[in-house]
Amino acid sequence: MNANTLKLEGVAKTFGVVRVLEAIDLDIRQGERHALIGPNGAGKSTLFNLISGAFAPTSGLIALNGTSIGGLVPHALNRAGLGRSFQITHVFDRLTVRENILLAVMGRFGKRWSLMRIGPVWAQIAEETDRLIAGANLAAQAGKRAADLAYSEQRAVEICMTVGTGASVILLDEPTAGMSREETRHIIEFIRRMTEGRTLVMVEHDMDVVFTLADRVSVLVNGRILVTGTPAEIRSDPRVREAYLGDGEH
Amino acid sequence: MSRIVLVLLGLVAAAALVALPAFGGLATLNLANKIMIAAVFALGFNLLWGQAGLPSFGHAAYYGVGTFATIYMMDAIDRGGAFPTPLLPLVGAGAGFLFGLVAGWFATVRSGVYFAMITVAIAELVSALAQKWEGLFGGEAGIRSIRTNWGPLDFQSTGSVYYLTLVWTLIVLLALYGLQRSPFGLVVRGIRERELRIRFLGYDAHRVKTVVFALSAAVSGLAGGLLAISDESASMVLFGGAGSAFVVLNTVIGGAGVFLGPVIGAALTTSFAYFGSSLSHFWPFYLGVVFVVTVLFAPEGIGGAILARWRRVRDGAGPLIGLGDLAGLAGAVLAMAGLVLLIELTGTICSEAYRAEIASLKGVWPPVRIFAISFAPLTPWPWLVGLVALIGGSRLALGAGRPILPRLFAGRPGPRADQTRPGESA
Repeated sequence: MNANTLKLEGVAKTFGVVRVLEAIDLDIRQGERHALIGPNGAGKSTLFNLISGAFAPTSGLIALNGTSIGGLVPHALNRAGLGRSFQITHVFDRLTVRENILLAVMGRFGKRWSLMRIGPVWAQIAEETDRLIAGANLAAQAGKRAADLAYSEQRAVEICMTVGTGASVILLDEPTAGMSREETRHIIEFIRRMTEGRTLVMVEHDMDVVFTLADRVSVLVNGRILVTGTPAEIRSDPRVREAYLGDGEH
Repeated sequence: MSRIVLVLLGLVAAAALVALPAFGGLATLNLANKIMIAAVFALGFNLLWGQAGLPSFGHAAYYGVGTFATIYMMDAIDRGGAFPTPLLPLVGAGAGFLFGLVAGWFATVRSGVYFAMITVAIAELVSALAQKWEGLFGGEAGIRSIRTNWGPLDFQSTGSVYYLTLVWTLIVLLALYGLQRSPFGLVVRGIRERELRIRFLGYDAHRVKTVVFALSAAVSGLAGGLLAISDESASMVLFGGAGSAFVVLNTVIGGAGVFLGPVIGAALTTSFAYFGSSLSHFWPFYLGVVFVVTVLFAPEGIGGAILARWRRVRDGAGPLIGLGDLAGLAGAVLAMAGLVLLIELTGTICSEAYRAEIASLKGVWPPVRIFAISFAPLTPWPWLVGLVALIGGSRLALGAGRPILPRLFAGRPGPRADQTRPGESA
């Protein structure tokens, strides 16, 4: 009934006297890959933090699948179907790769207080964990501590965890930050594969990533959405060129 | 192969523990009881610190509450209550759990230093309360009760208390080991590693931390219950800062990152206090030195050092004990001897008794006897020998003296080369 998986209506955020975001309206459709771009200080991170529950909006409505999620605590948000990754890698350093991903999958299957691994659900959990590990090409690293992985592999673990919670809407905060071209290409391919059939919202600086991965793009300038459209539309929009892309070289 | 060795070691240890009353005297059994109680307390503390990453500096509160609750239950049994004596530690555990649930709910709202401060505040609160409320806590004298036999089981001898304590210690060990390896234990370690991530994976971190706190308090309370059974008394001294400090000390010395670390630490410091207190007035100072040296040179504790050494041998990276280790050990012994000489000399000539002796000898400084050797405190020799031994021994132990030794140790990994990364767990 509601095709908009994630809906923002008149969302505003003020820090003290500083108005960072004013009246953001945004409709994220089921299954699309939506990128948020904008110059530094446009409010991308704040918007991301509002959607992911780090702050509550000053005013306005944020709804996930028709229910308001504004101001929910992180674990409640996650259980409502929203998963997020972090710009600075948030993996469990001294746990193994497998344990990292297992934690995400366990929670999805409701095994948050288990003292034993008894019952058929644990076979499912193990299977799902293995599937994610294999999907991320981390099978050979599964027994290593996350801290001992290469940076790009840690990013892959991070994304596996976000996907592993079974979230229907996935927020990625600069998934390719700090990566080489080669690594970026891999991770984009990986994100595309892992988020198949899910809704994806990401903040990203790298225009190549945005234009190859996103179905739609919203450009944020000075706390407002300037325009939302397909990558082609955004690329050719004169207002965007002026406000953000500058001479088009990036 | 190594697994077989471990199992064999475990069996030998178990057999020795079971057979201890047959060949150990009363003093040995008492020491063993004290060690086991300290070990259970430290294991409970380490559930919170090592696993959840929450440093509580007020754990004496839960230990003491467990002791008092158990004493009151022993009293009730004495008056004809039907509670089985062997299950008494559960009373301490229950009291610790309930108190820990409330205290933990408040304390775990914060993490790190703030969490630690709240735990200290709660412990101080309880300590102040215990001092004021004589009716419940018995004031200076404390309260007493007695062990009652249960069915065919006699609990009057120290040996029977030993076995009861041993059984409960093993139960706690197994339960905590199981908890650590359980899915829930994984969530707890996840909180230690990155709480925010855990919350975004759908876990209610505050609730998990509250429960872990309560479980940790329950194990501490159980240790307190064992103390009540062993001593048949409880007093407000239990709530003092020393209890909270000792459990931290035990865990640090033994190693928080190793499951049996707190047990190793408890065994060492309890034995140290037991034997050291009869050898020297200054044993707490030496314990402090051991603590500081451990933190500086084996931050993973003795358990961590053993584990690292074992891994090194397993990986074929070095021998179990190399020549460098022997030199280091010799250096450490030498440094310790020098330190003991200096401390005992200083401590003795500063003591009231010694001043009185000087007065009675009309100003003549009598020789100071340390381990049956007489030293003249007014000559420079004892001080010089002590200093040289301390400095030379330290240099040797730290490896600084190695280059001046012949090529004997060339190419050997030094004692500092095998440290694990901080917090590496077993």
